Amino acid sequence: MKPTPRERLDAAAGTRIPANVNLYPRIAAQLERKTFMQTLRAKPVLMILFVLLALVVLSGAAYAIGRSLGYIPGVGIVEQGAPIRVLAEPVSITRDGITVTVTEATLASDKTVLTYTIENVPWDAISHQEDVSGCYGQVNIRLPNGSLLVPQSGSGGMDDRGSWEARMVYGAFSAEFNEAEFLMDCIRETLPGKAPENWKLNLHFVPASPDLTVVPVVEIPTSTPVAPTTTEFTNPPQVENAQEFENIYGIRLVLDKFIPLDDGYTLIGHTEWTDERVQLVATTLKAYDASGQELALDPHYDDDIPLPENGWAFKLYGKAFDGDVRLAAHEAYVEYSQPALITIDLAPFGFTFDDSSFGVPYKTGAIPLDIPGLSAQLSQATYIKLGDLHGFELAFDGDARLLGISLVISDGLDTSGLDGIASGGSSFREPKNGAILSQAMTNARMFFPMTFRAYGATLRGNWSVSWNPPAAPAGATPFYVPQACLGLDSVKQALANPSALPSDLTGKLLLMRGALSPDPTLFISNLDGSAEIPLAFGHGSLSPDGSRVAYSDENNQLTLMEVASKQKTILGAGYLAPRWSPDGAKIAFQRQTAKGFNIFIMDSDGTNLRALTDTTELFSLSGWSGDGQFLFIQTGTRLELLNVNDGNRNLLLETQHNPYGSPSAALSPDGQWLAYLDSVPGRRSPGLFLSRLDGTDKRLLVQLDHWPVLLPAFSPDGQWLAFGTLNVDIANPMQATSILLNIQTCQPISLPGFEGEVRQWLQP
Amino acid sequence: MDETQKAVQRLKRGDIGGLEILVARCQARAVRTAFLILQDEAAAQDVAQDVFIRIYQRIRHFDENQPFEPYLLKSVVHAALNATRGRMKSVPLDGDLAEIESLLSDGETPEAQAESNQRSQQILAALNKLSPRQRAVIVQRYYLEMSEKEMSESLNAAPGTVKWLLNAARARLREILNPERSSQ
Repeated sequence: MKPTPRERLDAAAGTRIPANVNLYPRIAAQLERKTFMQTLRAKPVLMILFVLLALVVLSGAAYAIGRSLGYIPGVGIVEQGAPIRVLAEPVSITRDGITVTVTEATLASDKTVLTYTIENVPWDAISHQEDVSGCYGQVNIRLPNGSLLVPQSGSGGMDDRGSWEARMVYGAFSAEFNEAEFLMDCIRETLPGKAPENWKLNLHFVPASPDLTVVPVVEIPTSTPVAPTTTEFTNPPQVENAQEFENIYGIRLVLDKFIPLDDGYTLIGHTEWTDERVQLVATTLKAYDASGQELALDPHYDDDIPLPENGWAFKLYGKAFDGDVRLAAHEAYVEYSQPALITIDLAPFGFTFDDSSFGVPYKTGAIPLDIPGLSAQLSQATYIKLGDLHGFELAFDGDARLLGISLVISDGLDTSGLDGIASGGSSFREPKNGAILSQAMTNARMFFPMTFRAYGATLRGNWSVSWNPPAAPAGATPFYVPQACLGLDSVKQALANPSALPSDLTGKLLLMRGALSPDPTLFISNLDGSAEIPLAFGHGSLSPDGSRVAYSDENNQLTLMEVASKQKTILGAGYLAPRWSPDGAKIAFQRQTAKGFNIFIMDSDGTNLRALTDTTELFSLSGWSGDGQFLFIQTGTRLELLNVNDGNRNLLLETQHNPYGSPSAALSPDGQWLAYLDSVPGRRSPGLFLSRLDGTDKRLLVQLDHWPVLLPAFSPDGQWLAFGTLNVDIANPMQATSILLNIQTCQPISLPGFEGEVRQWLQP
Repeated sequence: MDETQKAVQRLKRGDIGGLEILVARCQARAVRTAFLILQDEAAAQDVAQDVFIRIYQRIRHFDENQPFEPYLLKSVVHAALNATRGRMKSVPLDGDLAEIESLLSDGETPEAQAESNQRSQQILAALNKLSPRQRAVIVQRYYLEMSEKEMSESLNAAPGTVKWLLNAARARLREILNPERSSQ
């Protein structure tokens, strides 16, 4: 039979995109579950709804040798001293209640940067389906001579209240024009006929005020790679011998430029390597001062700085340093241009592809894997399963520098009859026996001999570059990574050596565990792990007396269940996150409306349903205040109290971290304290903070480096917090582990034998 | 319930293991879909990666009764089209679809490997002559096998526009080469 058009297109795309492409390591890195790899193209995506690809990554003008460069925050790199014009004043137009405002424009010698906002776009005018395109909303600039500038790049996003903000970059335009027209054919993402079209605004430009801040971009003539060392870090990698740090693949960090900011520096550099067998190197950097103290360093997230090839930009906090600053990478992820292959055949060992083989390790004998410049030998293969994917976990003994080997299955697959080929897998070094475990999975049938392709590896090392910063301004102090009361090392110790529960610590827990429907996700257990009762699949909460559970099941049906009898009553569909009031008389929850999931309450028998909000905001509902008068809610970065009587909302505090609708905060039983997740400078996973309701007396209780901290829950007396975390150093961490934390002493107690997150902590 | 639906359920419940399964199952077609429109491997991976993350962030609002993969792939088409907008200077105007449609449809017999490889190169070259919007139409019609009605809904374009994009050559070719679909 001749191929179908679909098969021909698939074959054509397949010449450039292999079937076993594996995006997951990059996605995981972008979701900040694994910090070992910051992809070169990584960018924050939260709520960013469009990013135009720049025509020219590297601005020729910006990097011209011998030219003096400056930086305008939000605008980017410009030529120092060249005249700059700006928008004389913001201009605005309102049609049918929608307001479009050009808020800023900056006209530099090589580019024009324009910022505009669109407000009050009706919810129902916008396409809310990812797979249905709304209008594109191209914004062009028309010059007085009739020529049209189209955007070269840009980015922007819409918040959950329907407001857009976008920053667009155009080419430069001639100094003879001080007028132009802003032309927008339609409002971005709106459906046909739902919003006015053909918007036009007249722009007027004037010379920038002499006060316009253009900070210098300082070229660093020769950056200094630093000789290998093993002693200068607060968290030195485990080292077996100095040989381990022998440079491999000629990987080198180079610092190219720095830009002084009010509160620190932007550092711009790149990673280079000499070995042609390597086609990509990605690292995550940390910063240290001369005494080895870790300085706060975050990626520069704005897209206003063009990067050199294999480049990176970071913000270094603070302007005072103890000596030189050292940027260091302790791990690097590399991809090879010529992947190594390894073939296994377990048939002679009696292996068969059936369920009885899952999890049984087979010794393969030492089979060498020819990774460039590094030794690795396969020693064991284990047949594994993840959902309907199956595959092998290969165990390698390897060079001490290897932390992971990324594999895909390249031969030994029967894909006939499959609509699409799935492939996945991850790799890590097993802490106990030091073996490198690499998984490769597929949905296809497998047969021997099977060949695996090692396309990448994670390496341990110590690559660094030193920078001599300008003298500190008077009064400046160093900005170190904030130290949490409880850190990752202490948590690892607590997990490895569980201590006994203090005798006075009691309670009943509602636990949530990963499972597939219809298996239960909700369990009740005593604090010591005894008397565990499986409840139901879904999200939910226990009544204050522990006799009933209200939960939203896999179909978002709100269900009440008697814990003792398991008798169920279904109260309705389209409900999320039920929360019992402290007196057990009411249930608050989120319910789907035309605008999204709004907040409602009703009596616990299902009567007296009342809406408390009617907006398009993305809420999470954390619980009730102890007096039953308020609901504690989050929307975006705002922590608020919602009055259950009149629906009035009271802002408590704003965080830097946006959990996008996942609950990440708790109110103490006495209503005096908040426990919430917030960003920590220099760390990409949020930390758990405790503060009073107005944000005062703020303490960083927990920050676990690259391990996430999950939703906290207070003990009934408010003296302890339970929180979950995931060991992301192993592959496929499926279940969270819960830790109890004494708020005063920061004593951690791991709950032995417990799996899952604590969602509620009640009196026994 | 199939494994993709189970994975969506896991993800809706906050279990990120579900995302790994969804990525594993759907990534190859997602990246290929983006590549057919963008003609750039790295940009195609970026777009597919972004779409997975956006879906992950909004999974709470995903109706799990609808099939996931078509939803994902339509989203990839949408995102890939958006990603091409910044390249407007370098793309051709709408061209003639007859060549690509002929390459996709002609021939009567199974192909030898060499012939298939050659045709793949010809298909990529022909796609390269089209505007991104036309490439998206080709991908939706022939790779995702969407009907014109679905395409007009997805692109938010009048059915007449879709027809115009597909142009008159398509109808004739389809009739000759794929008579079973000519009723759509």
